[in-house]
Amino acid sequence: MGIKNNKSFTLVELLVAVGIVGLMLPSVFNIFFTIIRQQLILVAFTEMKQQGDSAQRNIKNLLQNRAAFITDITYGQLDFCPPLTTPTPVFSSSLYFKDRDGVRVLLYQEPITNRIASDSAAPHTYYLTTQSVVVSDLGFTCYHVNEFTPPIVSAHYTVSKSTAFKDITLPYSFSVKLRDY
Amino acid sequence: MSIKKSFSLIEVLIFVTILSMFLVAAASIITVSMRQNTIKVNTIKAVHYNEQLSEWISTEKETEWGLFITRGTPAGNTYCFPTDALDWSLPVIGNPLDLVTGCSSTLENKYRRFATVTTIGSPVARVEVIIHSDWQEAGNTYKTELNTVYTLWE
Repeated sequence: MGIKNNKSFTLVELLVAVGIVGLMLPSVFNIFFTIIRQQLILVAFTEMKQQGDSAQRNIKNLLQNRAAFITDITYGQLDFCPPLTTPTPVFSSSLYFKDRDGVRVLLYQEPITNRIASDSAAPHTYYLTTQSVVVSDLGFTCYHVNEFTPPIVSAHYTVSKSTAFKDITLPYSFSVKLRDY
Repeated sequence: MSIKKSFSLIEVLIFVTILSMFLVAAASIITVSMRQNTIKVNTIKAVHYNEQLSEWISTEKETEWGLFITRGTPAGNTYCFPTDALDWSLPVIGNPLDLVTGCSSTLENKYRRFATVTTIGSPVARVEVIIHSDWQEAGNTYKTELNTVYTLWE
């Protein structure tokens, strides 16, 4: 009397199992990649916001607390800012100013790594953003509302970051009135 | 003689029940996590829109205080700011802010943004500005607010 031991799967059972797994796997991977994508975008937005806010804070502090005169590119002409016109005076990609002690400071967009940089005559270069984000469209302008008040400096820039799924950007635009004028 | 070592119905039912409980729990965690991520990203954007408007209003105040204070009233004037091109051209009705009408969700086709300007004192000594952005997400309304007080000397 022989004992028949049916321990193996049949071909049909295997095909059904593989079919079900094959149907489920794309959905599982789709969910997985959606979560990864969302996480990357969230991290990118957080990073961009930190960098953009930090640069804005630093530029405002620098101008409010240190700038005495906005100058031309040669640092020769003091108080370079024209009266306010409509539209606002033309934006340029850099800003030159002197502090109360005559120290020259330049704010500009570093062209190779696309960071916002601050140069002072020492010479010292400080970067106001890191290379983890790209800064573009940096612009400055300044104007006097009337001849007796300190000039107002307006600035704008765009912070962007590429993720594997999406390029995202945050625009910044702000103004600051000089205190040390 | 044939020996078939198959599972009983009870065993299969218990297995399927445990597996389905696990799957339902995992699916709900994933759904909540994905929704929270989306809300976080949208909140960052909404906060940025608020701050963008706050900076612009601050420039308005710096440029001409006398004109700036005419934008508000002691009861509060509400303005809608539907695009990145900011101006005071769209006053809307609605106070408190949750009842604003006439301001559409045009920013990214998702956010609507408005601000209430309230003057304090006579003559005006301070101006309080409440900036509000809100958006719809999965049937819920989310909002962020930014409250700033402006004075002539600051």
